[in-house]
Amino acid sequence: MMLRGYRSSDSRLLSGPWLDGELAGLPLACWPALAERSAVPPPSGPDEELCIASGVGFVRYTELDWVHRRARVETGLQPGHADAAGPLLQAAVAYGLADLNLHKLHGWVTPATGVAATAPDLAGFRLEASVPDGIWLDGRAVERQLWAVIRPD
Amino acid sequence: MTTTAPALFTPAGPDASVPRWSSRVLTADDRSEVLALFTEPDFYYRTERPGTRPEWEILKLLGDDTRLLLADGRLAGLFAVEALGLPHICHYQLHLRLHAAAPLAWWISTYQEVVRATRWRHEVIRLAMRFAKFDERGLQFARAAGLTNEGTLAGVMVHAGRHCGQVFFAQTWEPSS
Repeated sequence: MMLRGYRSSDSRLLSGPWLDGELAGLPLACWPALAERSAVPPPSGPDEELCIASGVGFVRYTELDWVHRRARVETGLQPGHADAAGPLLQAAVAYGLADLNLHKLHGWVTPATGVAATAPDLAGFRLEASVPDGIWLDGRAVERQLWAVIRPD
Repeated sequence: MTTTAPALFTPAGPDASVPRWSSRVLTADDRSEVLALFTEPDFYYRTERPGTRPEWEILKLLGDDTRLLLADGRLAGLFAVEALGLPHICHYQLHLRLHAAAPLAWWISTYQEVVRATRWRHEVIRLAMRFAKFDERGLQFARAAGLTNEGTLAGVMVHAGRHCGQVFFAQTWEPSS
């Protein structure tokens, strides 16, 4: 999957029915009709890197730490493109570790979304920690997990 | 987590069909249609005198938290969920109004959708609504929805030359901790 730079014409890809900050931001079918969609701001400075998979979604590298060469990764996929989660994360890992020269990428996975963690797994991420009651979702606090991939230097 | 309010009324039967709800932020293109809602004399959305409010005041009432309520894609009303006090208190006030032609079942259905949406990413312990004593549609909805009547604050508004009260309703949930 090809990643490219953000253009203002891509703005519709920056919001959707996924849990914000999620590593595999898959569209959730159970999203309440009147709930605000999650959204990320368009990139506006060197503090983050945001790439677009045309018509499919985005990859966002945030909390960038160039000294320790690490970042948090989140993605967002548009409805109808859930099957692109694996390829998108693989492209995100390749770009983050090779082109951005980062050493470690991490991200959040929320099992309660019902979205299996297969996509992060396929992209080389490993479960690092479980955070009980880590996020509020659908009327209750639910577990959130930290997944990470480390560059084999 | 359990609700302490009575079970909500669920519309049933052929007359109670409800539309597919959606919502979105207001845009400049929506302005005339939204202003038209306020020409209904009982469109009590953040005002008890909707029919005589000028455009500037309506825009101020809408603020930046009002969302359009769309029934099958067509404008049916407005709503806003406003935090009362600090966010960690989990106490919110709902402003909700549907146009005059909307049946009671629509009110119930959209309220349930708003509740679901509000509790989706935030803990809500108390969701409050207020209706003027003269607001028949609002009071009818609140009773039919099973909201808890918390009392009336007497004489806080004037309607038809007389002081009137405001009735406080709420639905509450047990705190998570």
